[in-house]
Amino acid sequence: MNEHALRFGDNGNLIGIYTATSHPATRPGIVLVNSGVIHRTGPNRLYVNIARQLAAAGYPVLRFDLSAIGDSSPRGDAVSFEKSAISETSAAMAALGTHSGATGFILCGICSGADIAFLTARDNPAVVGAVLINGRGLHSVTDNSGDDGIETHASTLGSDASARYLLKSALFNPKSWRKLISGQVNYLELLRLLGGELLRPMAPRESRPDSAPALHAAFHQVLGRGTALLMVYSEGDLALDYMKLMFGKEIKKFAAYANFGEVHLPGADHTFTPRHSRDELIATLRNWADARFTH
Amino acid sequence: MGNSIQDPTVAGYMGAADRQLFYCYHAPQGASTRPFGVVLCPPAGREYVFAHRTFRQLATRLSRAGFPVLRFDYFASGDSAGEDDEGSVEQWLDDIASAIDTFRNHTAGARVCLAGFRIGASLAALHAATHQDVDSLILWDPVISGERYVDGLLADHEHFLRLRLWREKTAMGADGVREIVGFLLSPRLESGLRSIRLDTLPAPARRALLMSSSPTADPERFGEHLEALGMQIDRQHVAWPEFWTGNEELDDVLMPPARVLQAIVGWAQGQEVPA
Repeated sequence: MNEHALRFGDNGNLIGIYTATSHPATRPGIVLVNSGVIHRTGPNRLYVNIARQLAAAGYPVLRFDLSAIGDSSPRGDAVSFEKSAISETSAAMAALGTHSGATGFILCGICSGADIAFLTARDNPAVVGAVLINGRGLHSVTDNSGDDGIETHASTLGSDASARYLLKSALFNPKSWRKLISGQVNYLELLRLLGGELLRPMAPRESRPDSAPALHAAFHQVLGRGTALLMVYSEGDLALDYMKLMFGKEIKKFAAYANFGEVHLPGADHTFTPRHSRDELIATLRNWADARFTH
Repeated sequence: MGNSIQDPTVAGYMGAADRQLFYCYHAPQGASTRPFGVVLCPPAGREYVFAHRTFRQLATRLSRAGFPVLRFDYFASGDSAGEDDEGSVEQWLDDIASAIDTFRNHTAGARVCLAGFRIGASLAALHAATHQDVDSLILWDPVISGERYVDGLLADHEHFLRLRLWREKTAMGADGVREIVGFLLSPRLESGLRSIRLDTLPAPARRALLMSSSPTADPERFGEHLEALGMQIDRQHVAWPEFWTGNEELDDVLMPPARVLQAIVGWAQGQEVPA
């Protein structure tokens, strides 16, 4: 096995697993970003399998834990989660570059991992590609307005029951895991919060969130810079509703970019629970990366 | 750049090159040096996903209380080598033996308390029953009957499929491998798990903490069985929701069960005299 545990970041507080290629790497390095509070193995051990199969195909991979997730230590400062997540993902890219020699990087994440991957791609030009899987907070990982918007929007669109269930599921509810990280979780408070949400009138939301224009600009900025974006959606996932909410019909304009791609995976749920959906996702990543980055 | 909290944990790999196991060694903190350390045996599959944070916290709390602690991932699970369908009870028992060896290398041969949760507790007891290298056991909501455990895993998968309503059922692979909500159950693993019967086990150690946190746990019969074997059994029940399940009614219960962890650490601190 060609894997090594790495410590990096401030005072070595971040822990990641580096999967090396068998030959000197000539392809971009891939960094896998935590999905919610699930540690670096990913949901259903998906990140482990992505790392091993992509490394076998020539891409060095680092999957790591953001501070206070998995085996990484909490930060001792008051930096916002969004800033620290972007900074730590950039630190992961640097660590992967040091060990593999890679100078360009592909970021990949599911759910909140997609959000952090996009925000880092927006801010860091060393990101040559990003695979955003079922992301629904691409505008900001510290602003929950999008979550509320999607929930309202999804109800009017008749989104599938399992996706709505997963929105409430502990491991993927941003409202809970962000609080968890900062130690603010209170069981009774959460019950009240969820009860309140369930009782809230489901009025259709007609206007775009205030954050939509900035997200538009960020997409054009990233794509205009040449960074390849692959949007991956599981069947019926709320991420689709999120994108409709934020972009409306404008979303079709991104297809004009040659470096923009979109894939829908039928039969996959939010966390790729069925075995075949995990295999299909990994094949999709491999094919996309080979098409974009093999010269 | 922030001021991060210094973490003395050693993370790395142990074992043979083709069967490397991920582990974390937590060195004891503070002035006190305990007469033994703790090797943690995790649960498996989806339960480990939900319990990972709790295991890290338990290791941290024990190390802060002065105990050296080692936790690890079984072969074909977590960060360890192995394909998803390559796990087996026999292999995982070998992994526990490797973990104890690695722990002793880090601690210059410290005595071992083997602590496990759910199927990890069952494996800890199975190891201890056939080896002489374990002083004491901490068995937290152990799986007493492997038959019931496997049936439960399969029922959970059926429940998951029902949530997906109109979608097709997942078929068993040609190799006989079944899916259990994101994880795989090979015929070999299923057979090994089903054969577990803790209530017929010979005495695995001289003393044990039998911890139950599940509202549905019924460890009395197992505790009586161990006592009948001459073991010194401390039973504690600290109620906590079954955080290791995907039960949607639990919603956001992801905080580690602090009262349970506190009770476990307290019990370990009370075991100053080696058995």
